[in-house]
Amino acid sequence: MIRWYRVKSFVWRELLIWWASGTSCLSGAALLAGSAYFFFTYLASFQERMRQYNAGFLGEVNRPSLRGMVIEPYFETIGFLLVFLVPLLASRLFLSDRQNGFLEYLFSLPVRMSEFVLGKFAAGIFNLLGALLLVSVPAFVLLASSNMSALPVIFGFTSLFLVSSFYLAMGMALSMYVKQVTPLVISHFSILMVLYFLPAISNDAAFGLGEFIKLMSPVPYSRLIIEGFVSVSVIGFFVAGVVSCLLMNILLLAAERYLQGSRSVQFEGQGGIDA
Amino acid sequence: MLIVNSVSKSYGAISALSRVSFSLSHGDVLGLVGLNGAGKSTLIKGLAGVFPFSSGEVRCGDSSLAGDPLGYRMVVGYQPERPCLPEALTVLEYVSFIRSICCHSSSGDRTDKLLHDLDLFPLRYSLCTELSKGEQQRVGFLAAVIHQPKLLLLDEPMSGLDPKQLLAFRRFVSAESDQRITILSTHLLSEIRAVCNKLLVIDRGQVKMFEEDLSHKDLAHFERYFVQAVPEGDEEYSGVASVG
Repeated sequence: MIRWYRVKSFVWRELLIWWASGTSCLSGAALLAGSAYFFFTYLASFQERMRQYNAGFLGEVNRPSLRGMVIEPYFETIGFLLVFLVPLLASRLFLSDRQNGFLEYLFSLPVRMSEFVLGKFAAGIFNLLGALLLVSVPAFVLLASSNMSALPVIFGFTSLFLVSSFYLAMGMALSMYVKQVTPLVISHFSILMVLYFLPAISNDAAFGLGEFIKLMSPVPYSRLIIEGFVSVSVIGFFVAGVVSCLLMNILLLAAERYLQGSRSVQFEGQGGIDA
Repeated sequence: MLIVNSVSKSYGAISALSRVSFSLSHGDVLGLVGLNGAGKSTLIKGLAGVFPFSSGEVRCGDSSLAGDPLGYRMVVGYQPERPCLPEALTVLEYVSFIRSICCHSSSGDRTDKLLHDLDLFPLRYSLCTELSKGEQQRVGFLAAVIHQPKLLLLDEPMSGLDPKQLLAFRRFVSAESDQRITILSTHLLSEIRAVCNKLLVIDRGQVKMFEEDLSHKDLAHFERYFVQAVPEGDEEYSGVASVG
């Protein structure tokens, strides 16, 4: 049974470590700057379109909407920016512990692997939620200053939350295989890029595999949620992805515990253990 | 009571520990001595639950390492050879974190007392990684004893300590030794003489000698003991023995 006070301890520890690092401030600032740039670009485009509409250059049926021209593209773009942000966040979760020997020490503490992994994941989610709330501020301001329904913003935020959770869990699982920071960030980023562009490149796949390949990418599901098409299968995709990545993480950590001994013997063996 | 019954650890053809057995009672302080690579750290890590033994049984009080690993690890304190302190936490944050993991209840919090006893109180708001090696060792020791473990496993805890810290460490281990079982791995025979009442000499994963009463032995006798336990012609051992 999971002891939540231990999970909470890990969350607290991870948050302290993350917010003391320069990476957190740099990546947060970059995300804010990028999101602000795209938000005002979409807003300017909307205003220009409205001017054209008011001047009568567009037909009556082509009235631009904030939802279609600002909110939805903005959240889709943030989803793309997460491809850059999440690998930076995920790379810190396990590697520093492995490098300073804490992971080995952890195995001597009265902690279940599931508690440790959940604590790390929850800390990452808290960080992402904070970042997503910050980048959603312009959308909320727009919402407050217009007569637009709150639903598009809620859908957009939910979509970003689900897709970032999936990316994070994937990065945590990947950090069990790749044990250096730079290769981990690059490989995680590459996988996310492939997943992002998978729907576009899958159209050329032979034997009608395109539709099947598209199912593996979170992007179409994320787009569906942003557009308001929320269903069990769409949510299920993200939940299944997160749960399977976390389970893989727990299993690989348990395997690493066994390998822990063999590594120390290889080190000690230089002194005198004979084969 | 700690019962270590015929524990072995092997990796394919490599045997790191072979049928190690001993038992210790409450208040015992066992000195674990051996060459680099003899299997001391493997034994300590195995007893700490860092990795499972290939065979054998370990029991501490009512808890079995294999049968109830969480319950067992709850009563074990472990100080690794190399302090593994997170880079961004202060001493107080790190110790509080370890304490919150090992004991949920806030009653009996002795963090302040231990910080004072180990001369770490002025450093409690310093980042762990800004400390000297000796200070980091003391933080590691504090983390190992913060939850009042019944079994304390110390893997070369004296490395990096200056003479004053060494004396303070001896005092601390001796003062609290009656509250638990302590296993101390070290190359310094003088430290074993100063704080231990039992000795286990280990070589190539096997127990060479288990001395159950060191109380009446002087250092010279103790060195002879150690040299006897070494295979003939193993000059490295006599070098280690003379350190004491």
